[in-house]
Amino acid sequence: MKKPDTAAIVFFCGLGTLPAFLFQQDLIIKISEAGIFILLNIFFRKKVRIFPPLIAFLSIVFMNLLSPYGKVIADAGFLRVTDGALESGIMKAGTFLGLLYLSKISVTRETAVPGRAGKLITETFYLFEQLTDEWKNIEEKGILQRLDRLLLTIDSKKKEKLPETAEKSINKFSAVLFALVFLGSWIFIFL
Amino acid sequence: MQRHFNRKFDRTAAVLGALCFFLSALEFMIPRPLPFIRIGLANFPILLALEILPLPGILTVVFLKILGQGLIQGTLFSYTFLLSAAGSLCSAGIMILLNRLGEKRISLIGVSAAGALTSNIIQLFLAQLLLVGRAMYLIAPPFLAAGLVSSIILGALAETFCRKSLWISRHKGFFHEKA
Repeated sequence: MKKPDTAAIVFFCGLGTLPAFLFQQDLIIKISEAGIFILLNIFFRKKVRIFPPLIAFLSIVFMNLLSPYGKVIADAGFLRVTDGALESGIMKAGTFLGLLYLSKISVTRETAVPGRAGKLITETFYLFEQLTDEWKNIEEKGILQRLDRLLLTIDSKKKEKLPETAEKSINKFSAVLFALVFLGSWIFIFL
Repeated sequence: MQRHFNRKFDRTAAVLGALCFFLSALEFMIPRPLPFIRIGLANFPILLALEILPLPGILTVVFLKILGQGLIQGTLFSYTFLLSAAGSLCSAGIMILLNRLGEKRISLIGVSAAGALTSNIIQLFLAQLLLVGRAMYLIAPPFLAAGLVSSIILGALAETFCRKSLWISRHKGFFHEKA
């Protein structure tokens, strides 16, 4: 019997978690889930850059505060912080970050796409690896000359057999952990 | 003969798609002053595709660019992907129209600027709808200005590359001969 592909399990768990996360209306649970996705990213292998998501989160909250509604909870002179706008901002920013990190866990380069499109994507990824490898070896000085030489080098290489499977970046334990997160996210929807 | 054409067609689209991936990865590594401001390096191969490939080839490269960005940056399920896909599709439509209808009258600089403006306007509209509401008008001016400047530079680079590149002249010759 063929062993289940961990990249596929993780992909489908991510796909299954997506609606549960989107439909979650409780702010605390939603933010907690987003936090879990970020932690899973750190745990799974991926580098998590702190500042870009933090700036994105704060920008979305701030933008929402500029359209006040609800009770005023703070007044900073130029800006009145209202509870409705703050809650809406945190909810939107949490959704934005949660989706981003859920996607980063679920989608890997090993995620296979079937059919002719799949073959084209596999070839594109293969050429991408070649471009990345060859770039360092090109000695031309100007950026455009270097790029031209790179494309000519790739073209001149004989098409080698595409690798059947890429190196796995997700282990079984990660897939099981993610499956638990998927179940948990749906349980919280019905609580 | 047709098989050779199809193979060459697929290969060229895949090379340009791979270049989109490469430039996306490069852009991903460059620190940005604000998360909403991007250079749009991955549009460079689309500008090249406009010069050498027939319409289905250009659309294939656009599809690969969208998918590649989602896979490499891991944003396939996110708003970022939705924004990027909508922007890329609309800007590709405008760029193809200008390139085909304008023929020699509109340079790649003009095509690139129009594509970037279209993409950015669509992204602003969707971000307003989904994320930040009416306050989007605060981001709009620097976002559009940065997009316009970077697209003009990118268009100028693509124009120069198309004039001087041996790779372009080889592929342009092949596909134009067949057409």
